Amino acid sequence: MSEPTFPEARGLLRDAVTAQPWRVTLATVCAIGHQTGEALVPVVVGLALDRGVSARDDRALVLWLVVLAATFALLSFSYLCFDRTATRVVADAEVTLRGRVAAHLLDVRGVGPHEAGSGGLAEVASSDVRAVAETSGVLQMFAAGLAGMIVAVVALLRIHLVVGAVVVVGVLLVAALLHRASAILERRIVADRRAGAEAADAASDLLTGLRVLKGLSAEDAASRRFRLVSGRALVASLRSARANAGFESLAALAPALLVAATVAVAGALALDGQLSLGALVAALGLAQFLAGPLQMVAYTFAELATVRAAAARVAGVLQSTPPAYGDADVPSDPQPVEVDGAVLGLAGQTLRLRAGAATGVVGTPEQLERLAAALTGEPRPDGDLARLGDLPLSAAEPAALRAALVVAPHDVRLFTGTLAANVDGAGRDPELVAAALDAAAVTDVVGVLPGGLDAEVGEGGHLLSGGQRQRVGLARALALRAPTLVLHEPTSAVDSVTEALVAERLTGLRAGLTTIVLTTSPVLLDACDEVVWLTDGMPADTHHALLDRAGYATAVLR
Amino acid sequence: MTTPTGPHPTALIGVASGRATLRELRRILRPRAGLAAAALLMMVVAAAAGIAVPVVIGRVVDEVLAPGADGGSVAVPVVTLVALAALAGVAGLVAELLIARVGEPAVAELREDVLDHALHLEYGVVEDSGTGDLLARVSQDVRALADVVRAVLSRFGGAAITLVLSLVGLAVVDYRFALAALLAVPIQVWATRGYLHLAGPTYRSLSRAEGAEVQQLLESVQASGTVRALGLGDRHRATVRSRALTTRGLRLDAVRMRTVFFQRLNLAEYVGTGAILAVGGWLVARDAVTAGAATAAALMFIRLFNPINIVLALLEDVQSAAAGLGRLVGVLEVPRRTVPPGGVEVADRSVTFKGVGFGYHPDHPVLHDLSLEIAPGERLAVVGASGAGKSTLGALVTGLRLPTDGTVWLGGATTAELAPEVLRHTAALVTQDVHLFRGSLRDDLLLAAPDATDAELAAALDLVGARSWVAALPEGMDTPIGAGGHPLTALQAQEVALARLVLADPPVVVLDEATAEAGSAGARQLEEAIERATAGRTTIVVAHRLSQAARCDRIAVMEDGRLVELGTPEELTAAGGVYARLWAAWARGSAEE
Repeated sequence: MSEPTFPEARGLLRDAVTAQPWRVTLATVCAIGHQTGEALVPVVVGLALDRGVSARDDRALVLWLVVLAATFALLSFSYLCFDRTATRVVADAEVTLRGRVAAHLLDVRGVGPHEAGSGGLAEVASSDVRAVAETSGVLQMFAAGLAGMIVAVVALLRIHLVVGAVVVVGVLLVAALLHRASAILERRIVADRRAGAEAADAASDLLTGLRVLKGLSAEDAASRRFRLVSGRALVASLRSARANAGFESLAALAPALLVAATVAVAGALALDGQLSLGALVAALGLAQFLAGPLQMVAYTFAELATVRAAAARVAGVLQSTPPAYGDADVPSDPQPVEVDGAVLGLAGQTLRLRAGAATGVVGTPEQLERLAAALTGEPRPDGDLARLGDLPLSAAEPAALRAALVVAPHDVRLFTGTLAANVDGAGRDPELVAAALDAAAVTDVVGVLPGGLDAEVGEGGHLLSGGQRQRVGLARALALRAPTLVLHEPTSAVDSVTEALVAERLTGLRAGLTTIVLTTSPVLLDACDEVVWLTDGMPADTHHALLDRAGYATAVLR
Repeated sequence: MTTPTGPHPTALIGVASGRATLRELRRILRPRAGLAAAALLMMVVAAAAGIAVPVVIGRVVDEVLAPGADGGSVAVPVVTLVALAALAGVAGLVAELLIARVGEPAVAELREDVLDHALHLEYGVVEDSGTGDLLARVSQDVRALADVVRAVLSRFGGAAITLVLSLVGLAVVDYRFALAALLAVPIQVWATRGYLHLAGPTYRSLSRAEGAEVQQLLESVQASGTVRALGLGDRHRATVRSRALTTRGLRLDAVRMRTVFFQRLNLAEYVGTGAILAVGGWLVARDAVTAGAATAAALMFIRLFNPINIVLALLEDVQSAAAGLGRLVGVLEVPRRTVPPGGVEVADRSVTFKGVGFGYHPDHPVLHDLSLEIAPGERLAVVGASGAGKSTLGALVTGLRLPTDGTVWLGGATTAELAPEVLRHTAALVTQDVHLFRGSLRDDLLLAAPDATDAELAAALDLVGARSWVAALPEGMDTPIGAGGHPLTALQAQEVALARLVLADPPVVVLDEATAEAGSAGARQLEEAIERATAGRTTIVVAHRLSQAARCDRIAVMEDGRLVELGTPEELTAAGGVYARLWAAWARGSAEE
């Protein structure tokens, strides 16, 4: 296996354990105490039966009942101490590491090259971080399991060498047998779970598209299709249930046979007078107990592999270096923007956009997309081709650049939460937010939604229509009140009546600031102070004046 | 289900009562009652075989303490123990198999029935209660139920039966042992009630918080471009931290309750064991029972530690599965729309509104007194700001909603009296929701016309202009699309939606802003595809772009739920009203007009 190695992976695992040394030590000691107590219960019960009940000795019985109470107190309080301490250790480690990973993923400079896709990154940030945080728990489990095994084996060998040997060998055999069987079963279960998940996925897929199905009256066809998927899932479930039933009965049978074997050996020795009644009971109890710690130790190794792999993935993300930015100061007042025509397929010419004005830019969809990308200032080979004032974007300090020049992405991504939280994403003053809502004609949306501004927009804003999402996205960008704002087809999904409204209000709100609107919408262009047409010569004039130029009308007619 | 659904489908999806849930459970299990009884019998046999083990060991102990005439041998007990092990193993195996044979098909049948019912719910009911709730029921509740049937039912049942039978077994040894064991019960009840009462809500909050945490991470990371572009990084990092801290707090709450619960269970274990040992000492001292019997009783009780923990730990799973079952049956309880019998047929392709009013809430009307006649084959554009009632108009035409006042006639019959099957073949609605279904492109298209041949599918794709890109797909029409499949552009997805429409072949079509998501680049291409796809059909276009409206036969302008202008594009332009003003703003961009 060529797992990539990251020097930091070991460090992450070490941190998860050593960051809280006292708590980790306490949890480990308590875990050992718990297993020891559990191992002692059958021994003490055997002694109580032997010395107290069978010997008809009331005082001895009371004594052993007190010892039993102490044993229970030991295991009970140890467990309480272990579980609480260990959970706190893991929870704190998780919060710390998740914060670190999130800070890295949401760095203003971007993440830099890494191995996981964006779905993979979220996976790393959630489940892998959790796995790494649980490192200390794995070690505690190992220590506790080992302690339980040692106590049980020592007790068994003290009871009788032969009985002890039979029980230990028997437990090992049973464990090995069940381990093999469960490995085979695991594959079946995974296949079955996939089939079951497929049925659930198919159901939610059909319901997500319910409006489409209703619109075409395709409910019956959809229902028939689901029955097919569900039927396949049923076949898989039954197959896995058969395998599972086999395993379960084996898991019941093997220990029961071990009890029979123990009775055969220990019973014969007891009949011979070599073994007391208490020893017989203790041996039977320990035979049953021993499987537990054995499983814990075995589980540790499997778990450790998982934890290591998770740590490697987390380290891989943390070690990715974001692209290099400059560190030059960025002026906070509106600046003119210049872009080298090479970006737009117009080499040798320069796109000049005035400071403090609203400028429309007309071009092909590809030109507008390239222009929007160049203006983000993200490091790229042609990074020097765009300038804010005199400053090449590639030389600017990234955080300051983002504050001075905002490029609102055309693809509006909203976040789970209320409408208000989405618009007011960066915590702006309420009046700005209200003005932005009005300019983007979101107030109409607010009126329709139950709960108004406090209405939930759903995951990724899916409870809103495409046009509503776009307007909320526009309001969010406007609420930032950036000195320079770039909007890329901000009304492409908005109906024409509302679009006219937005065009009217947008320029008023942005008066005195630099606004660059990349669009082919005549209504928006008409509202701009000036329009630049990305064609040979880059003519700049009012929208109305440009209409007299050949070809311009076709470029803006949709 | 006897009254026809009124104009206000206020029947939201609820949760079935315990009685209704049981009734549904009986209905599903009735055909499998024999198997279920056999499964129960096998579980009892397996549990009984397990309980007999301590009794046999007790015999060995008595043999050791008071050797019989033959000097004693373990042969008989050991053979008995092996036989009991085999019996428990076989009976357990059969029980598990039978449970699967009963439970799995029942779950499958239930999920199919629930989905079928959910698909056939009235549009209004689904819209009003949100698809989110329905989705949660059909995926999460079904999954939780399936998990319980699969993993929990046999363990829970087996453990519960063992508990009951062990009490019987203790009583058979000596009734006083059973009484001693019962001392543990009040402590267990106390422990469990406290736990379920407090921990149940905490664990539910915890799993919600964990879900929200992952969800937020996923959103932030997937939209990290937006987060960076708008400088939202600090806000999102703070949210990640606060969500992580919420989860941490709930986890610590949960562990506190869990450890208290386990401690109380330990107390119950001690009290039961101690009481049995004490009673054993007392009875043995009085020669009421042998030491072997006392040993058997003690071992029997110790063997119960595990089953008790299983029952109590799984109680919550079982409880939440029962609640999920209630929610699923709740879906089944929502009445479907019923129409008066009589079989009204559609005469032609005309659409008529007469004095139509509609409101989603009684005091919040969306449409007022709308009268409108659309001739067969006519193309009508509906123009207006969002919230003007355009989409509602579309839902009323297709019968997905019924008017609160007045009547909508579809081909000479009212939408209220048309049976769903007839409506189905008469009017279709294509919205801007371009959902692509999981599975191949062919499967997606076949939803609209299940019997269509490949040639028909190809012809439909051809008509909407999708031929070239479909041919270029890696596996042609067999290429998986939808979630997790081959990504399609917004324009391609819209073309798929149009191809479905062509295949469904309805005489009346409503297109609700069907070009909204395609972006400006594809809009014109899509408009042409729409014209081809709707040729010959009575078409109502909720228009998004004025250029699209201008190409229709007539235009209806709506404002605040009222029809304010109606006429041909030329008439309206000349009239100097709302449309004329909009058109003037638009026409500045198209000098040719």
